Amino acid sequence: MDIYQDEVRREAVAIQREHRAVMGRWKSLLGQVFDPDRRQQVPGIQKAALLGVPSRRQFLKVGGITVAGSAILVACGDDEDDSATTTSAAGGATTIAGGATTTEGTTDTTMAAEVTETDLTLLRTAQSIEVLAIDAYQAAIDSGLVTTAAVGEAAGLFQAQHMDHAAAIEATTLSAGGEPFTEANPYLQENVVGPALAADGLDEAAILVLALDLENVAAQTYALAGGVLSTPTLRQTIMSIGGVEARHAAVLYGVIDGAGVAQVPVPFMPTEGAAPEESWVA
Amino acid sequence: MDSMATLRRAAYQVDEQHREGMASLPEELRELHFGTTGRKLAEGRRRFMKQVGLGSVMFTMGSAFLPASRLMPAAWGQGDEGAPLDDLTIAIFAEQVELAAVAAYEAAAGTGLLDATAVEVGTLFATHHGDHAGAFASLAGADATGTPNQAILDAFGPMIAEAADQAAILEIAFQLEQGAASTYHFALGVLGADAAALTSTILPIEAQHAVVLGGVLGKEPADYLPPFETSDEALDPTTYPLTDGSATTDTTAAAEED
Repeated sequence: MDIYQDEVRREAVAIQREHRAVMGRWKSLLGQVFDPDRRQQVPGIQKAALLGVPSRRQFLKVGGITVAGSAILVACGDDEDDSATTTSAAGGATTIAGGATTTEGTTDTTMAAEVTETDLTLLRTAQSIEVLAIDAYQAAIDSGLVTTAAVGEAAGLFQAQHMDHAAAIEATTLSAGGEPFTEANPYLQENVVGPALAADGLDEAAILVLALDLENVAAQTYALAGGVLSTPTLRQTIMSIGGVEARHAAVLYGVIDGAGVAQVPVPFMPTEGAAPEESWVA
Repeated sequence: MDSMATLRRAAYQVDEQHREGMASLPEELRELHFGTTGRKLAEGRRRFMKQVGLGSVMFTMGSAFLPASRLMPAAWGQGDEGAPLDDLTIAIFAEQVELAAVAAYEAAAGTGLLDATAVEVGTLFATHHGDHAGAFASLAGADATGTPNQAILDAFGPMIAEAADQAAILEIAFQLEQGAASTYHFALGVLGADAAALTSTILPIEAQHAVVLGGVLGKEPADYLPPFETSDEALDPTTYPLTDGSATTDTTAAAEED
């Protein structure tokens, strides 16, 4: 426990200060880059770099044949050659980015729309979980019940990172042509966070457990999404966040002094604790 | 130290849970991917997609139909060998990375530089990596090699052998864990859905390992609590090519040679 309190306390403030300075510019930049009205002005490679994913142009560099069908890059890459052809050497599937035709499918336009709908549901749900976490950490900070400085500072750091995640997911949703969901997940707020924060005897320990629960829900939801999202790029994007939620959980496991709690309690991230169907934001 | 006692206690508890859970893992994994459960999971994915509006259409954009080398940035995609890095190749590479991590932790324990807590934590993490290797081997099927990546051992073995103290060894472990997480982050940008589903359950565990080691090492939180996972530290198959499964590998021997 001391390890994380000392370390996190020592550096969290500095990280947050730096984070706030950078994030103001980051959000502004994201807004500019993914603003539909300004897409034509920003190369796709720069957009992809912002999200930490390979750009379609990087794919082109490697194989000489581009890969379309990635919702995010199709949407992000409107400034690029939308007629680029995607060829699968082995499977023979050929897709025209933005053109919605394929040698395999007869309803490519429909499929593309349906895939986007699936992806958007996951993205909107993910953003709602991030907002839920942001709000929950804020409620915890405002409650006055978090009396351990290191815990408060860690909460601030984690909250800031969830803001980053929400912004990245929102940008991805916009890029995919969807409408971001900017509210806290209604189902989880009503059934998990609300009751936990309103419970009698709420104290710092209970808040830590709630935080751990939220981080685990997020991590497991993203681990699930990593196998459900329709494109490698989207799967990579969601797991760039899912891994961080797991790190948060590991820190919280280390801070919580309770029997049966360990920092890496399982060898594989389970998905049974993912956000339930009732919480999906279609 | 209270913190170390807590860590030790946690490691014991996790290990107990782990042993109970892992007793039947190999069979369960095989069943999971290739048996009735695998079919049920696939059905579950279809159901999920249907519930969110996809209907019965499955999206098969993954590299199952596409040589992954076509998707790889330069480091992963332009090896001299020109062998395509498809899902199978990546599964074999991941298996070998995991087995190399197991060997590295074993070699670290063998140095005598680690205290009891570090040995226990390292043993636990090695067990996790063994589980991960088994999972990737299940994906690779008959092509699994059961062999650690020799190039990784050649790179890290001497570093472990020459480490001056516990902190130096844990730093190597930290780099390996960060590298593993980063490797899977990169792989997710290439893999097909089934392999990605497994990889998505492993990446977070490597990340958690890094958090534990980063904390023990007294690293800056920014070092082990990044805002996003990235591919920046990915282990590159060009640098660490696949090891022939018929080759024998001995981390300790490799370290001793140096």
